[in-house]
Amino acid sequence: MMELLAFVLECAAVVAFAGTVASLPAGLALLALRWPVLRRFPVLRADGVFVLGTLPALASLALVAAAAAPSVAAVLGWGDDHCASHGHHLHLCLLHSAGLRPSLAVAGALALAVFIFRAGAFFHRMARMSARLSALESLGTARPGPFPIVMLPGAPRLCHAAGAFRRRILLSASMAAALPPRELAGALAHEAAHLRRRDPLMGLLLSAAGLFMPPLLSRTFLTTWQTVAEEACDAAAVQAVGDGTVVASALVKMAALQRRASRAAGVPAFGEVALERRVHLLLDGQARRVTASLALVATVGTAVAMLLFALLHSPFLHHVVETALHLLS
Amino acid sequence: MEGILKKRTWEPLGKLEAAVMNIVWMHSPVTAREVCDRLTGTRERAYTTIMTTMDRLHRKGLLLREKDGMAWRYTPALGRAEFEKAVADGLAAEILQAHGETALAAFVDAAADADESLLDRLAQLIARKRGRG
Repeated sequence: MMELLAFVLECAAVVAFAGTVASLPAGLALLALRWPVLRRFPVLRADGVFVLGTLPALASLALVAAAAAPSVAAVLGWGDDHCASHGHHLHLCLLHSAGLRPSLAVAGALALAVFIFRAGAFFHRMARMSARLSALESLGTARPGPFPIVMLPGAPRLCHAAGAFRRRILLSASMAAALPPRELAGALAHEAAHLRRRDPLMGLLLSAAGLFMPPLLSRTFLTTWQTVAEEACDAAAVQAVGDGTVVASALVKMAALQRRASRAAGVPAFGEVALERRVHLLLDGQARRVTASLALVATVGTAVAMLLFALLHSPFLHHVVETALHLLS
Repeated sequence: MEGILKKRTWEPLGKLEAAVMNIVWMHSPVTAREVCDRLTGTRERAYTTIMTTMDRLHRKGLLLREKDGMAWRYTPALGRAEFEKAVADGLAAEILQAHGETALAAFVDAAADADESLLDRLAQLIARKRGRG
């Protein structure tokens, strides 16, 4: 039992440390994506931010998988007991723990507690929001289409793409009535672009990946990705309606309608700077390349490659992790 | 009274509450006994359960009531459409506030932050651009 506890706390410390360390270069790389030349390629930028935002989680999980693999394989009978080859440093092992060092125990327990708290809060918010969305949708009527549009009663607040898997557009009927048909078409084209790109699913994955990095960096990645994804979908909407001023006008009118309807004080996410920036981008007349998002494919490919690399080099990485824990604790 | 009702945030109703409200909206004014008699099939419930549910809806402010002999006679405090709009508004406001990390993507999410003067300025910018185009 003590072996298991020591192993879990040591692994928790490894995940937290690796996630934090990996998020620093990822954060620096995020700055590189602000390069003005890349503004003409919003899809590429959004994909880049997403892949960078998931890298720390993938790296830390791959590292802990590699570090844990020898002893897990021994427990499952898939490999030999590797313990005889150790002894000169801390021993990360499910079978023969060399005893948990107090500093490592504290670090591991703290990392585990913080992770459980953040993950619990995240899933609680998701479950609550899912229930609220279901309740809201039960009041509306769905219009069939490539992506169903759920027309909702109430003040003009919503024009949202929803659903990680069951993709649909939520639209306040009063919002639809208030906009000229062409501007409404632009707004719907924007939302359809979100759904084609699978942004709702990517938002969830990026939030989940953010649990492996410091909260401030996680928030920065999410907000940056949301802003760039909006620009990518704006470009897709311009391509659909053929006029940036139509999309810009829809954006400003909807913001005005929402502002009048909203009693909420301070909606998080993008802010007025982002709104102004988006309108300027829509009006600058510069053509932006709209391509299919490859972020999910790239992320899955990276995850598989990292895991394979980690498992293939498991003995070496296992030894590196043990040495690092030995020196740090 | 109407002014107060419009400002309230309503929670979505439970299944039995919704079934009771449907009957009240269709057959108002009604007693708990009449509602009980009209609930059929899987929605059928004991009279005391219906009485408790209607009392709860009254305390929530959704039903008004007045004495009719030994029983209470209930009427809805607001119409079905008005209620659904109010519930939708409350849910939408909550969803918008939590939007940052939910499985949602919005066309505009800057509403509460964007001040009127910025929106005016942007509208003028668009109009000028259209004029030039």
